[in-house]
Amino acid sequence: MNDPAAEMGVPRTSWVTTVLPPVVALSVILALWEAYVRVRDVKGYLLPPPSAVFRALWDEPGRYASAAATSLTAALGGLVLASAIAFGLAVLAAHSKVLERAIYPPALLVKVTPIVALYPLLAIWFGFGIGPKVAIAALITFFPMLVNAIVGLRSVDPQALDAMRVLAASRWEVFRRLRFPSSLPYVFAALRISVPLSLVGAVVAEFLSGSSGMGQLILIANGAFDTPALFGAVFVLATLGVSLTALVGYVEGHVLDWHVSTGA
Amino acid sequence: MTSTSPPPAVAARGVTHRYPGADGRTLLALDGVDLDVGAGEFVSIVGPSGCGKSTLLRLVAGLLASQVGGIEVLGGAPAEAQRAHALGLVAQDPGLLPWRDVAANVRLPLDVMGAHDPERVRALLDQVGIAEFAGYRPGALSGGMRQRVALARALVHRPRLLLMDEPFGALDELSREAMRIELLRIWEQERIAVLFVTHSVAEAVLLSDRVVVMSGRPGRVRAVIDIPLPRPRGEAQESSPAFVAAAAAVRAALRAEDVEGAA
Repeated sequence: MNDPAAEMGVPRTSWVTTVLPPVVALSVILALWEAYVRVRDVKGYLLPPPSAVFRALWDEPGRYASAAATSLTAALGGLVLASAIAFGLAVLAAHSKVLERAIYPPALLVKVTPIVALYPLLAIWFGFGIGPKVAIAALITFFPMLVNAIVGLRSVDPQALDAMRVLAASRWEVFRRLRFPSSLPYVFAALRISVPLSLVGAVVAEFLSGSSGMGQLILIANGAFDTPALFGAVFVLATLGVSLTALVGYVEGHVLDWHVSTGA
Repeated sequence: MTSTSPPPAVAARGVTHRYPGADGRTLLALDGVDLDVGAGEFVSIVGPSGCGKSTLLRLVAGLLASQVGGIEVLGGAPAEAQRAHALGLVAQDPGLLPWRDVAANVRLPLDVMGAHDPERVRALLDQVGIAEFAGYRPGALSGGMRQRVALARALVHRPRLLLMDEPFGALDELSREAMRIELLRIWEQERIAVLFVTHSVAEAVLLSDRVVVMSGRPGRVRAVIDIPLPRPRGEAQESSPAFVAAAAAVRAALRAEDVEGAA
């Protein structure tokens, strides 16, 4: 098909209008930051200039990369585990009001409990390795997926459902051809919420255990008054969060190309 | 007629239906309704809003569980007709799957049945005039086009009874008229029984062999009016004396109901 926007003389969206503005804005912020630190001669342990932060990253890339990989593994492990269980429970809840009523209170309990408070318990159960980190990331991402998936699985077009019911379509047929695809916009909305949460969960668990990952790296940098390394760690975590969210958005754009929310 | 004549498409006797209402009372939607649709017959139901005509159609479709009275569809219970894949349904809202393209939406009943008939899908796309949009998603189509897709979907598995619940109610007047003619043409080819619910007297008269006029709450059958217009029919007939007389008879039956309702 022809591009109607181009035909009407409207400039098409390209990297000039999408990528460039945030890049320019970030560069300006970094430049102002660098200039402020240099002009006012701010002490490095209070606020290091961006150049010092990037030098810290540049000098020890392996240290940040391996810590990031450790945190990322725990975060994604928890996210995948929680999403799978939550979606499974949502399928049950979407088919039965009784099951939904049974599932909600315990799920709500998980949601309102400060998950961090469970860490000592989780450490006793799962040791000090990746186990409790995955558990924290899972607990923190569980509820958004459960609620969104239940709503999504119920959000079927009633006329489409009728059209299948007059054919005596089985529950499985209705699920795979109607309920599951209908739930996907809600599942992706949940993932957009859960992905940053899973990183928070993993890093908080690492703060508490101090055994490995970005959380431990931050603790060590903090103890050594190594402020550039602290900023470096924050920068790495922010990059992880942005990349994962962008990845979810990319996959969503391809899977949900039929959905209005993904239109231009 | 052969010795084994096919069973009537619909034979309903004394159908009464209540909905649960506020403060424990019930709302009587249908009260002792009889309905007959012969094999291959086109029957419309007209009546004021809330007369239970959609309820009646949903009972015939097996989408609502029957409470009082007997409903036979194609010689058995509605659920049996469903299992035999003998029913097709078109509602006011097309209810298409937005992630499937037009051809895949039309194919849906075959997919559900585990059947495969690309020839039939193509033929129907042609028949309803949407062959060139086969690869489009519903989101890119107009309301009239979507309703054509819904019609093709309802016919693709060769049902013996087509149920239509105000199928053109959401369309603009021009699309509506085009769809009536389209439906007449398709019905001439498919020759299946149709139960058609509508607000429009002109639509009911133009399309039907018989028009069932229902009264307002609770829904009762007020009159059944034969439409003796010759087939095949077309727009030209809308100005014929026979058409005008039939439409007047239907309108009179609808109005008579007001007097009765007041009594």
